[in-house]
Amino acid sequence: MRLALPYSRRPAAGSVARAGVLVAAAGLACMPPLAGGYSLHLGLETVTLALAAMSLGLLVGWGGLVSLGHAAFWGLGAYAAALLSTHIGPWPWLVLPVAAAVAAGFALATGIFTLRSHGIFFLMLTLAFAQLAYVLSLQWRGLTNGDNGISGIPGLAGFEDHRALYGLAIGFLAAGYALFSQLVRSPVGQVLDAARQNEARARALGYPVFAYRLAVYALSAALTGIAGALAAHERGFVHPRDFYWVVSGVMLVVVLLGGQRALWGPVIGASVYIAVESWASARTEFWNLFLGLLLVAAVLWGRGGIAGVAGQAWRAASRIQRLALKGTDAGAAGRARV
Amino acid sequence: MQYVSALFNGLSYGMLLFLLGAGLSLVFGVGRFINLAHGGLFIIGGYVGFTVLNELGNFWLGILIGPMVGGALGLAADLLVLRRLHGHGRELDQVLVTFGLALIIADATRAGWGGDIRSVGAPAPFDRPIEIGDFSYPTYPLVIIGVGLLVFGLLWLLLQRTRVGAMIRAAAGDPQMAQVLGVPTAPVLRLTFALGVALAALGGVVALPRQALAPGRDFEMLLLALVVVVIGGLGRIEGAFWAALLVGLTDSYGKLFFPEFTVAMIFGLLALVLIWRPEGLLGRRAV
Repeated sequence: MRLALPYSRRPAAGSVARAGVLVAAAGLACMPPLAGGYSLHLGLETVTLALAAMSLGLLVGWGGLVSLGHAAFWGLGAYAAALLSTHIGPWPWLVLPVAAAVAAGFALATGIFTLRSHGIFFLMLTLAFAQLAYVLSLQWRGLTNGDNGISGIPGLAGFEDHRALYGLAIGFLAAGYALFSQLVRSPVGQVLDAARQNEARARALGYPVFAYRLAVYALSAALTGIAGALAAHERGFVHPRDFYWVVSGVMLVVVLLGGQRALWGPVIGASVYIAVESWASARTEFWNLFLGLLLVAAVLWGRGGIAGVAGQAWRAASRIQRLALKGTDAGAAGRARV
Repeated sequence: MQYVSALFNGLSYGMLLFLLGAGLSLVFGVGRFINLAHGGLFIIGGYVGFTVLNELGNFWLGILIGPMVGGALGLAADLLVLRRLHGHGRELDQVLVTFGLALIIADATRAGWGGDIRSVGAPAPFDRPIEIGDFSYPTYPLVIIGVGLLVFGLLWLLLQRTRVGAMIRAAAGDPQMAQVLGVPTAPVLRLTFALGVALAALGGVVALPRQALAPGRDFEMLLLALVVVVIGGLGRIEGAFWAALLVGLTDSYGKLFFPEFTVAMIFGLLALVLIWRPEGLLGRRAV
C-alpha cells in the first residue's frame, strides 16, 4: 500500500488555488460585521460551525475517524460557557479554557472505549455517548435546567460587542487552521494518515497509533468545545438541542460539503450550509427535509465536496490555458477533451 | 407485585427493541452498513398503523399494512439510492445517505401527520387487564411479547431452514465468496434490507398502543436499537434478541429503582459490555 504524500508536497497549482479560495472566503466571511445585525449573526454562526467542522474534518480526513458524536463536545463547551458565565463570571480566560478542557476530558474518557473500534462501530459508539450527554442535559435538571435550557448568558467580557466576538471567532478559526495544517505535516499527522490507510502496518512499525489518535481526538474535541462556547455567548442561551445528533450530522455534512481531505473545506462548507439554511428556513419549517436531500445529493454526485469540485475546475482551467498557449488547435482539442 | 409488572414491561419493551434491532442487525450483516433511517421506518410504521386504525377502524389491518408500506419504502430506497452505494469502502457514504433519509423521514412525517402526540388504545379483546387476585396487569404487553417471540422463531426458521436464508447467511459471512459461488448478493441485500425495515415498521405498529407517537421518537428508537445491536454483536439475530431483553429489563427495573437515570443505566450497560466483550455478547469478531 502506498503511503500518501505529505500534504505540503501537493502540486503547486493546487496550493495556489487553495490559497486563492481561502483568501476569497476569508474576505467574504469578513463582510458581514460591516453590516451588523442579522448578517453578523449569520457570520458568527458560520465561523463557529466552521471551527467545529474543521476539528471534525481533521479526524475524518486524516484520522479516518468518522465521529457522529461531535455534538457532545459542542454542547459541553456551550453548557460550560453558560454555567460559568451565569454563576461565576463571563471572563474569556476562564470560560474558553474550561470549555475546551471539559470537552477534551469527555473525549479522553469516552475515546478510551470508542477508539478501540473502527469504522461504523466508532461512528455508532460516538453517537451513543453523545446521546448519553444529550439525555443527561435533559434529565440533570439541577445543573442544566432541563428542557428549558439556560438563557440570559452574558456576553463574553471584552467581547460584548458581537463584532469583537466575531473577530475572536475568526482568530480561533485561523489559529485552528494553522495548528491543524502544522499537525498534518508533523510526524503525528503522518502516523495518523498512515494508520488510516493501514493500521496493522503502522502498529507493526512501532507507532503508538492509539495514543496519537486519543490525543488528536481530544484536541479536536477541545476546539469544538470552544466553538460551542463562542456560539453560546453569541446566542445568549443554550438548550439540550445543542447535544442533539442533528448537530453532529450537520458538522459531518459541512465536512462532506467542503471536501473530506481539505482542511479549509469546512469553511466553505459552513458558509454554504449557513447560507442555504437561512434561506430555506425562512421559507419552510421543514428545513431538515432539504438538508436531507442536500446530503443525499452531495454523497451521490459530489465526491470530494466543493473543494474537490473547485480543485478540478482549477486544474481544468489551467490545462486549457497551457494548451491555448501552445496553439489554437491544441487549445481547442484540450477544451473539447475537458 | 410491581416487580412482576416490571418484568412484563421489560420483556414487552425488549421485544419491541428486538423487532427494531433484528432488522438493523440483518442489514448490517449482509450490507455491512448501519441504516440510520431505521428509527424513521419505525415511526412510519406507527403513523401508517394510526391512519389505518382511524380510517378503517381496524388495528390488525394496520399490523399487516404497516410492514408492507415499510418494506415497499425500503425496496424503493434501495433501488433509487442505496443500490448505487453498494460495495466495499462506501460504508461512510451509506451511513450519510441513510442519515439524510432519516432527516427527510422526520420532516416528511411531521408534514404529513403534524407534530402532535398521537396515541391509540389497545385493540379488543386485549383492552382489559388480567386480574389474578388483587394483581392486575394490562393484556396488550403480552401480545407484544407474543409477536416478538413469533418473529424471532420465524426469522430463525427463515435463516436456518430455507434456501433464501442460506443465501443471506452466505452473503453475510463472505460477500465476495458468496458471489463467486453464484449467490446474487445485490438482490439478497435488497431483500434483507426490505425485510429489516419491514420489521422496524412492524415494531412501530405493534408499539402504538404502548407508546405515543411524537416527533423525535424515531431517533430515540434508533439509538436504543443501535445499543441493542452493539451489545448483542452485529449481524447476530440471537444476539439482538438477548440484548433487547437485557436492555428492556434494565429499562423497566431502572424506572422502578432509579427513575432519573434509566437512560444512563442503559449506556452504563453498553460501556460495561464494550469493556468486557468489545465485539458484543454474541459477536464473533471485531470487524
